[in-house]
Amino acid sequence: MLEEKLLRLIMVLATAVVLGSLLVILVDVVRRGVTALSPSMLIELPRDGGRGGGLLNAIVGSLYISTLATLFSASVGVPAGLYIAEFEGKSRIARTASFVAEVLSGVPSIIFGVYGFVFFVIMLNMGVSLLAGALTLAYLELPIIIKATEETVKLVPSHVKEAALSLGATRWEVLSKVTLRQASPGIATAVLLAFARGAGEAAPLMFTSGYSNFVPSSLLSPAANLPLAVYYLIMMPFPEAHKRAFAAAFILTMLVLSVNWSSRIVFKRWGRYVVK
Amino acid sequence: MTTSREGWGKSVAILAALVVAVSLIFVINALQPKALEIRLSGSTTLYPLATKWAEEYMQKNPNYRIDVSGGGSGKGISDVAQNLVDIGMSSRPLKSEELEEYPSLIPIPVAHDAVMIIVNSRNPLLHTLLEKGVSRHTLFKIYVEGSLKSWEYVAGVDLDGDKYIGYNETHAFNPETGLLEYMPSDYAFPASYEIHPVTRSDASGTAETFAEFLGVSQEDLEGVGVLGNPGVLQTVAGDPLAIGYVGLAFAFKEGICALPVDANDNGLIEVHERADSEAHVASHIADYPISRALFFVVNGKPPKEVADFIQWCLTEGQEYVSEVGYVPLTSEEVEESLELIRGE
Amino acid sequence: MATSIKNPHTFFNFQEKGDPRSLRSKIDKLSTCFLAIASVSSIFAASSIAALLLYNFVKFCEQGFLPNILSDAWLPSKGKYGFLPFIAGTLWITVVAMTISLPLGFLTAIFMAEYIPRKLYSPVKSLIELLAGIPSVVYGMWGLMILIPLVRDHLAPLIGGSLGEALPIFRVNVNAGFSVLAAGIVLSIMVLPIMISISEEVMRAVPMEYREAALALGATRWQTVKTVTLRQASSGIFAGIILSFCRAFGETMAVLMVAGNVATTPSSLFDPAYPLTALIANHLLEMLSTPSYAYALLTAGFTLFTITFSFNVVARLTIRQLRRARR
Repeated sequence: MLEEKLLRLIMVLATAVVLGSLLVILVDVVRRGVTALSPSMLIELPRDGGRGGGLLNAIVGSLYISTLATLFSASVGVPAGLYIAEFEGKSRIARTASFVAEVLSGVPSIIFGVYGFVFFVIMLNMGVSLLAGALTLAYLELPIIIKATEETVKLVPSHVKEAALSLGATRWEVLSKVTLRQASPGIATAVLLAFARGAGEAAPLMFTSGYSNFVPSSLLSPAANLPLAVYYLIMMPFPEAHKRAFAAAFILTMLVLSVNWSSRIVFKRWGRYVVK
Repeated sequence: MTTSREGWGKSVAILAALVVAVSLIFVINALQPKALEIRLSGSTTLYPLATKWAEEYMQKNPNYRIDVSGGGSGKGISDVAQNLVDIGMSSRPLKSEELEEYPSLIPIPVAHDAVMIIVNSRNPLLHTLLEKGVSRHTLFKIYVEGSLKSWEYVAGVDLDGDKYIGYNETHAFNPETGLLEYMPSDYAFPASYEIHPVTRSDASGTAETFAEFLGVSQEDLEGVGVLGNPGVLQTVAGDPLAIGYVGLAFAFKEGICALPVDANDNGLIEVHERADSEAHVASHIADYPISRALFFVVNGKPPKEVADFIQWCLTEGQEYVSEVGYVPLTSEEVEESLELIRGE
Repeated sequence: MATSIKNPHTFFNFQEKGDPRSLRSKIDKLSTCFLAIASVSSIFAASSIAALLLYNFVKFCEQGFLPNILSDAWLPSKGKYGFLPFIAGTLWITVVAMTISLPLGFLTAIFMAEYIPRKLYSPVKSLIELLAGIPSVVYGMWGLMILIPLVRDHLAPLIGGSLGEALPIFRVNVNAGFSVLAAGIVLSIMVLPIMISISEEVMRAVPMEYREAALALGATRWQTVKTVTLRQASSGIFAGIILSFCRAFGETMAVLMVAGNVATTPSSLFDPAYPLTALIANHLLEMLSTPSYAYALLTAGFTLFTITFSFNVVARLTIRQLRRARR
């Protein structure tokens, strides 16, 4: 019994340490961010090499890059996930694609950045641009969307699909009219989660969309983003720059966490009338 | 309790609002009058000067959008060679390999600068160091050989009273014999007087210039690697035992002191080797041991708006140079640089 | 069915009975084709990345740099590309991260799978997923602001002074705060969510019958866990360890900010390190000035890619096998 009690204590302690470290980090980010944040930071462009002005360039840049990247990756990834879920038993392509997607999600984010730099920026001559960054980020988000879509579609109960088939629908019609509807809360969740993941990445964008002190004026101009803003600003020795770094970290963390949280709400609300 | 239809609608509404907001920003932006864009990247030494120039120029010419970013001289040269930016900023001349690979690059001198040796203002030996300075030989031993590890030896003072002037963990200088002796294994190296050298981890012109002064290249320099002149400044200002090197504009900031450099190892600090103030170094820039020109590098003949900007920097822009902490060009040098733009 | 496609009334109206089956089946085939093409995207992405890195690695070898790849000297201007300091740096940091996160994550996972009161399960799980969602730059920033001063001003003097005398691994050679220890701690927190979620999922998947059988034979809860649950879940837990290792191995931003970026092989926890990821991040943009430099950096990328890719393959195959066996 003593062994039992002791081990239980150790386990509770371990869990407490894990949760505690989370709280420590979050509290620190919030505390620093809230004191540093001001309305001007959200609206102004940076001045004085990061010591003055605000974070508008990073906020808008992040929104553009992540939205575009998620659009690209979802338009390819959702159909891919659908195919894999439907045809996994019958098609070798589906099985390979599924496995490769899973493994690709473990590849370090900087590798995508390297690839994006060599392929999009140099070889395809896009230059350091919003477009190159969005495409690189889309590569990173692709495996996430494929896997999540695949898992959601697999959860659609087969009797619903079979009912549609028995009414004479073709496989595609079942997929688009029945399965997709049933899986849409899950797919929406997947897309939101991929968006949040993409918004938090810095390494792939360092070399592909670069950085700029202005709001991007076109798809081919460089664009700032919040994670890189945090990185560059915190590495400067000026307290005013650090202040902006804290504010950027706070905005970024709140953005990512709220998208994550809302994806869960979307799932619950929307999923209410999905057949289980 | 909401019906499923209401829940549906709310989520769609929020999603739609987000998409509309983002596209609205895009549309508003796209409707702005097209600005003339100039992009610069590269040396963190040139960064404060370039941003000052950019701000002043944009005030006078509001239809310009000049975007300056850092990354180190190597990055600036790389970027402009690949046409990723319009002007590459460099605090060192181009290397022969670079000119071979990209013969169309034109380096245009735009200002002068000096590389200063800095230490923390709370360094235990500050007064002696400010008086005697640090010799080239000593810097070589600290940064290249890595053999010299104690501040005691740099100042030539026995601080901890053990009758030895510490050199590194295994050797110490014995003032009585005047020799560097191998110490027995129970010798306690005075770690509280340990030298912490700071160097650059990015492709830095400042680092290359300093390395050249020591007769080596940047990668041979030892020490903790940090990013940019601001990084070195911050690290040295935060550690009483640190030593580093930065450009002139970063050398007279709070928390650090610039040391005189005994370049010819003659034991004396001559007038041009002193580091009293920015103005002093600026006035002796031609003879200061670690000085260099700062360059704007362009790839081939620059387009009109870029050429206009560079021309402005070389003429009216020069009045801002000393206030930011650099040394302006002489009028002959300005003429030479203008020739480089006009020529080709 | 006598209706033909040329009849305008039935051509566009797919809902009507008596639809021309050939059109619908054409759409079916076409769209299935389109979906298949979309799914090839993942294979395309992976193979183009692999191809690019492989090409540059081959070029690197062609130029004769391969024999020296494990040397200690990284001197690009002299054409010396020894990766040892960086590989060693990455390994040191990853091992420290795993040493901290393995026991913590493992114990937490067991707690969550077997012992946790039902009401607490959902909130705790959500909190851990929250931890996974925090961007890596924010971890790096926290490390820079809080952890580095902690290591420099408290941990290094304390541990270096006491244990450091005896064991070289704890010796403080340079006290800058930027160290293997700092990077390892930050990485361990980042890696915990993966460890916990995979281990916990695998443990929960062990069928109730096995546990009930053990309990019926008089085992205590912990004995059940030890003998039944853990043994059944062991390969899955092992896979989870491999995946966490890969995550730590490939992390860039957080280690870039706290590891110190000094290109020498670390010999102590308090030494700075220069992980492969930071090497690439710092120098990729200047690689264009010298072609062999580019090959070298992309070879570093190739190394990262192959190691993480192959470890991932092994781990995911294991998990797949377990999931299939469960069904």
